[in-house]
Amino acid sequence: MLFDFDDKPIVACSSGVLENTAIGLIRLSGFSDLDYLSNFFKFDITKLKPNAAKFCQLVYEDQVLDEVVITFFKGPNSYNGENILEISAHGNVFNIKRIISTFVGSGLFRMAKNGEFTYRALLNKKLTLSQVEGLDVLLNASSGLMLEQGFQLLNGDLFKRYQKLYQSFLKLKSSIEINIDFAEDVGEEQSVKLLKEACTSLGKDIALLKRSANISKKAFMSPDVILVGEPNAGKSSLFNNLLEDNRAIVSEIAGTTRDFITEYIEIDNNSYKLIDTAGLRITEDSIEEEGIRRAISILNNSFYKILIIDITKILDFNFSFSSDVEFDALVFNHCDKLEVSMNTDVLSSLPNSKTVFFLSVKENSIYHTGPMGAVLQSGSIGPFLNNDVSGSIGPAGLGSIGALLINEIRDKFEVLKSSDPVIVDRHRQVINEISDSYDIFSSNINTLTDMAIISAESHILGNKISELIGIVSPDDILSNIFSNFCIGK
Amino acid sequence: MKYDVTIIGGGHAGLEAAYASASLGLNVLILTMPGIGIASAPCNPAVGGVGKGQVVREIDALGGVMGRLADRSAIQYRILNESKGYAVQSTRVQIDKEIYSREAELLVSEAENITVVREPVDSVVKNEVGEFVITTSLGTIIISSKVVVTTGTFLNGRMHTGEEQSEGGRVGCLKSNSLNDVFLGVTALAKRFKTGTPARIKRDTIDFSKMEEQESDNRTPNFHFGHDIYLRHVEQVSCHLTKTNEKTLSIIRANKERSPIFNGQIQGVGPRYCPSIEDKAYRYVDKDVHHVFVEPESLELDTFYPNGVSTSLPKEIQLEFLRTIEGLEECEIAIYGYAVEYDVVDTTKLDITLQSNEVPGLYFAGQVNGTSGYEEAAGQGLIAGINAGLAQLGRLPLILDREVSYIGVMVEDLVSNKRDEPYRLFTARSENRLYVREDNVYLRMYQFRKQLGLYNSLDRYLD
Repeated sequence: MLFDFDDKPIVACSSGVLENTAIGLIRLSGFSDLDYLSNFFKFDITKLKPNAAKFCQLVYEDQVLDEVVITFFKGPNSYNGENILEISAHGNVFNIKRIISTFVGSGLFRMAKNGEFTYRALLNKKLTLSQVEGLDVLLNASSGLMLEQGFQLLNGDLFKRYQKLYQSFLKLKSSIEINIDFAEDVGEEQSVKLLKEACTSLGKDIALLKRSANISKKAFMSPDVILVGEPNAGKSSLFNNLLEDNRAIVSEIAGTTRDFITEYIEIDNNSYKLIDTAGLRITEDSIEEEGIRRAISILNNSFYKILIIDITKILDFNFSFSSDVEFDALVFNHCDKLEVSMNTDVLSSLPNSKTVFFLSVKENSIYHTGPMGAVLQSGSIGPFLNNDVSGSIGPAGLGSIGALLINEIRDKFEVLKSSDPVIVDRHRQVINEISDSYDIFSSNINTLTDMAIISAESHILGNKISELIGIVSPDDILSNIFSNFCIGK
Repeated sequence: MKYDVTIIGGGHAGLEAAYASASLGLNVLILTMPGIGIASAPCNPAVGGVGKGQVVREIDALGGVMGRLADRSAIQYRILNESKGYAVQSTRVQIDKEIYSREAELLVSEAENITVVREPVDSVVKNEVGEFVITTSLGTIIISSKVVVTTGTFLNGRMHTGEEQSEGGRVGCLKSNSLNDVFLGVTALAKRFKTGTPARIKRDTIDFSKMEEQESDNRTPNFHFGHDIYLRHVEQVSCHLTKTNEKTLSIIRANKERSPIFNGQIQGVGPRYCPSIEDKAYRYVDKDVHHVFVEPESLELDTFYPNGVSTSLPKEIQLEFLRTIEGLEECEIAIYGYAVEYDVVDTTKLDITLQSNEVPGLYFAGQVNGTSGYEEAAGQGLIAGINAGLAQLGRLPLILDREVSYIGVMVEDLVSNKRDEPYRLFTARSENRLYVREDNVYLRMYQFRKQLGLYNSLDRYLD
């Protein structure tokens, strides 16, 4: 969104005018001084102190419009760098509209365009582009996760990481310029050392950011929890078990097809799509085969993958997954019905899984679990010995396997979230471009001796980084040199 | 007395300005302080350096004099950044400051249309027909169509050595009145600037055997295109490198409250890129080892310039800390270091020809514009002098683009931004560094040479 910039004072209701509320917030921005507002107040508005609320009457041409609370934010120390007056008025739609049209009608203010307050903040360098994008994510968030990402971009960890990237680049750029303009002052060896260090450290920052940028966005925005297994292995039971206490109160997202039985479950304010797939087996039936093909394709993109196997039929399990499929949980059902010890060779033919659950209804079976109760064994499946299985037995009851899986899903999500994923598409793309530029740059720095060309190459990298956050100007670089290094003959 | 162009100040900016407007055939007056030679070198006895070498060659290619004076007085040559690519290579020479100034005087005396008057200026005002009326302190009245101000550090100059303060633009010299007193209607920068210089050490008291010798490089080409490329006009000598140590810095740190820069005695802003040894000591508390280049000031003088230890500490402290440095244990000081504060014009009130928007016809160049360095001063002097002359002749101004020259970078930076510290050129200031090189200077200046109507044998290949 771009505006023809004029600096005329603007007015808008910041709290929405769609329904009656207790309080409506009207913002005035961009007036030269408080005297500009003297027509709207009976008291001497020029005496109003910044950042302090005041209860007063809003008037215009001898008519009292409303009783309001006003707060003055003096530029440049305001949200967008301009003088801002916030008016908390009674939130009746008609009242809000009347107040705004009074301001507009006075000729002193015009209606703000959408986003114009923030646009001015960007112009006045109170916010960077990436912060504005964060604000956009925040204001339009449809999940707790997006809210969090919005905050992170606006002023949180992600913004700090971008700033850190910028600082690392400045350091690199500074060290190049030190090498050229101040080598005599700093010393040749020292200046070469500085350059190498700066290059390595920038590379590390970029690699970390790239990792965050390349985390599957889908895994975040609509994580799928998928259940696969042979027909009658117990998928539907487990599906219902998981659904039991966690059914999400969300409507079906428009446009999604229901190839399979799907429901939404909610864990810590995040909704997950729970998918019960068609039973996997080798089949001649072309329709069934198509269903299985689709199941496998969904499986590949799913956030949390559960494979359920009836342990008594394990010898019949012959479905082969591609070698890169790794399950999050492997659930063996009907362990109580297994009378003899398992041959571990059988297990080695199964796909890898991070966790394994054994379900049993008999408390005194070799697997010590109750009906649908579970014992958790962590670690990848591989050759293991039966008698190694241990764990709490706990009161057997339906839901306990569900509870365990829910915890697992929650943990996996937390781990993913703690890696600070980047979900704004532009940022993901630019970060990848930055990484590509850096690769070119670092190979150049190893092969070239001409510092001026290396410096010019670094501009290409710098432009990409500026795209992510802002503009790198020569003054910033010189400033950085002077504040961090001892220059002078 | 009536002149087309009057230059107030006979330093490096003033000399280029005078020579440039005289080359246009105008009648030029240099008004300068009594007792100082033209184009003297009150600080570091060197011309050129990274970014600055390019400026000297640009001046030379435009008919200026700095390059030829530097060649004729050069006692040591070096190419800086030699291994780092053509674009950032720069020439620097150590000059014999006596020879340099003597050659400058000679040049001026040989020019028929340059007159030199050595009297302090009291006031410069415009008369009703728009000419400038200049009154000197001796009562001499001069009428001039254009005036170029190149007063350096002299306007309201105040020097500090420890607690001692005196008035003057440099050691042993008078000061001028403040900018606002002399030039009515010209806006001064609110902050004054400060610069400093180290003590000068007597030759016989230095033990050079303890220092690393740096010889002159005979592969470095001369600045002036008219000189034989590797010809050396005077005897070549070495510079010597030594270092400060923990003792040196601890003496300076222990006397912080006696430093005019840190005890509030000096209000002016100094450059971060050319810090005094006090700045280094207090700002970089972990670093005790700083380079000190011991440079001869002249073959004829017995004073040496210890580059890197500029100071305004009290005299006894200066001697004490210098004597901790290897090779200077027995040293004696000939002239003590000092800092000087001076008035600076607000360069955002100048146009791209360095003419004052507030007082048309009045031009400013050099250190009075808040720059540092002889080369920066000379580059501006050239621009101001040529443009004052061109304006007097009713010709189009000469404007060097920042894309093709460091002088252009500097002038545009000066007039578009307010200075908050003295300005020095770095190659980093040029966006077009890969092109703005020493080796292609004639090509880069070609279009401007044509505009000025300059011609010499070099142009045969370019025309």
